[in-house]
Amino acid sequence: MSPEPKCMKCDKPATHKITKIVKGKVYDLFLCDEHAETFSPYIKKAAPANLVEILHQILKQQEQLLTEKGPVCPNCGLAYGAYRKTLLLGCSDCYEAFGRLLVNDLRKMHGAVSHYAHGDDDEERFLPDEFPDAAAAVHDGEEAARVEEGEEEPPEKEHKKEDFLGIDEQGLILSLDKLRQQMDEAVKKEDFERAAKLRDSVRLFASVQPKETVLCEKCHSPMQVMHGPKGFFLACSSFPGCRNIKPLVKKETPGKKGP
Amino acid sequence: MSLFDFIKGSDEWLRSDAPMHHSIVSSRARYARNLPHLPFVPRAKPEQLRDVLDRVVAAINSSSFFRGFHPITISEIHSLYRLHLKESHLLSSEFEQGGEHRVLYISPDYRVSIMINEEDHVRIQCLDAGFQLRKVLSLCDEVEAQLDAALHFARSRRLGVLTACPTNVGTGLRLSVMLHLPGLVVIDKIEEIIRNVNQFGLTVRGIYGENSEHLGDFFQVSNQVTLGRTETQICNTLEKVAEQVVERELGARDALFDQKPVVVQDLICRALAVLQNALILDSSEALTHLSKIRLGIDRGFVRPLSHPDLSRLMIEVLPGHLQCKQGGQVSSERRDNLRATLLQERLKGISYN
Repeated sequence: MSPEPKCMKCDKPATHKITKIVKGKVYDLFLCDEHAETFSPYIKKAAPANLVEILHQILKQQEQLLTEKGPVCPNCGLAYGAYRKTLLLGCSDCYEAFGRLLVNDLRKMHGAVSHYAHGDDDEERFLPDEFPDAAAAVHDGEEAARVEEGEEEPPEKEHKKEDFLGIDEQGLILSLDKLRQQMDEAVKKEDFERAAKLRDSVRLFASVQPKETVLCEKCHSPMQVMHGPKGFFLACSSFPGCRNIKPLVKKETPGKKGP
Repeated sequence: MSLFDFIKGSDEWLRSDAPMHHSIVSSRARYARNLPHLPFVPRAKPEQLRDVLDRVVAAINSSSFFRGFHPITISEIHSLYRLHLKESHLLSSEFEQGGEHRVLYISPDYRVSIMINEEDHVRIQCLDAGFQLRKVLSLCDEVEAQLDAALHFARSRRLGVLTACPTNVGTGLRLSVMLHLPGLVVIDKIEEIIRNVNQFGLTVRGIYGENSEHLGDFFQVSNQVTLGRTETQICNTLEKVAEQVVERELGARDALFDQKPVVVQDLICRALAVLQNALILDSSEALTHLSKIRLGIDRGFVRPLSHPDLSRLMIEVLPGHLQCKQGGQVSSERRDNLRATLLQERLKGISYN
């Protein structure tokens, strides 16, 4: 930041910059309140003395607002916050840019968040009710803002998948309870990024839970859903006492409904 | 034929007798489409709207399907003509306001209209008399396919067609029927019907769509949801509901004639009497009376008046039509007088028998 300019007539900080053109030459005059007023009665008084500081603060606030407004469409520049005011999008690319943020609106308006293929009533062609990036853990706004500033490459999807699903740092297989525990711990530690990832894992786990508790046929204790390298499976809860495991029979994909 | 003569003939499509015209005046299908990446209309700058316009016009001109379509530059025609077209349901309230870089294409038989730069880049509309949902929908599909080949409208695999407002996303289809329900209004069952219709995910609006009252006992029933349903499903639902409402309407008319024949006759005769003798009539009053006449047509009580005749008359009394016929803007008092004169002429010699 350049040093505060001083008034040309005295030593006070200059609050006015007046541009004067004399015989085709441009002169910039830096003057304080007092001298600016004497220069021309039409000049309004600048109230605060440390104007530059205040301007700085305003700029900072605006910057904050910009990131709080959420992602911005890279094609037309519409900010999510602006969309919320009119409920009108800026261009066809906004849908991709705002992604999941539009889900609630779509659900309210249509009771659905995705579409059928044109003229096709065949159930098989039904597009899933969930967004393809359901595994995305990082808050869209933060991510998009960082990507915009070029600080970070958008993370690869495969990377993320391994990252969140039921496997902790030591590579141990986790269950729903353990995941919840880890999530609470992460929140206490204020590691919100990790907590968000774990929250999504918890959601996914919760969605594949069998309707009725499955009992282990060997030791009769309840079995719990776990996730390993080959996907979801049922494991006896009295591990390591009983090491019985079973494949998990997939229940109907949530959200799939007939026409 | 000059453009203005063409505009004046914009109710041609109503002259044909059509299925269920006793209660369903018209059927309409509308597709909303946008060009990919170019800003949507609400946020576009004038030069961008111009770009959209140029591209769509080029696409229309390059296809023999659109030969004979009349282009109308909205900013270049008088507001009265815009009003006239809106009354004929060929252009929307949005377009009636005017605006730059907005063009309307109308087919020679008035059944197809294409609006460029309304709320979306392209709005395709197909209209026909009576109960013809499948016909207007397939016509719309044809038009859309022709334009899509050249313009490649914005779509996403997940969300279907992309539109300025998320309420249109998916199919971008607004399918509607214009119902005329004087029977249900007289027996005061309209509220119940509206509630029933709403339960099917359909909305009921007045004659000019959103924000208009139930003028002249007209009710426009249309789908609300466009995402997660196919065009065929929307059509099936609307068809079923429309059929049921018409059944109720005819039931109401029958009940009136069977149980209260004198009351009905009185209603129709009074309406006729006012329309044939008044010198001053505002549109609201004219439409109210004309609506009652509908009750008599089915049973031949008001020969030789036919259903299309009546529907046409209910449009001709509207302010835009009156003034265009007159050749220019006219004060509301004078309009009310012109309206009364028109009705006297048209209903001459008709009596209840």
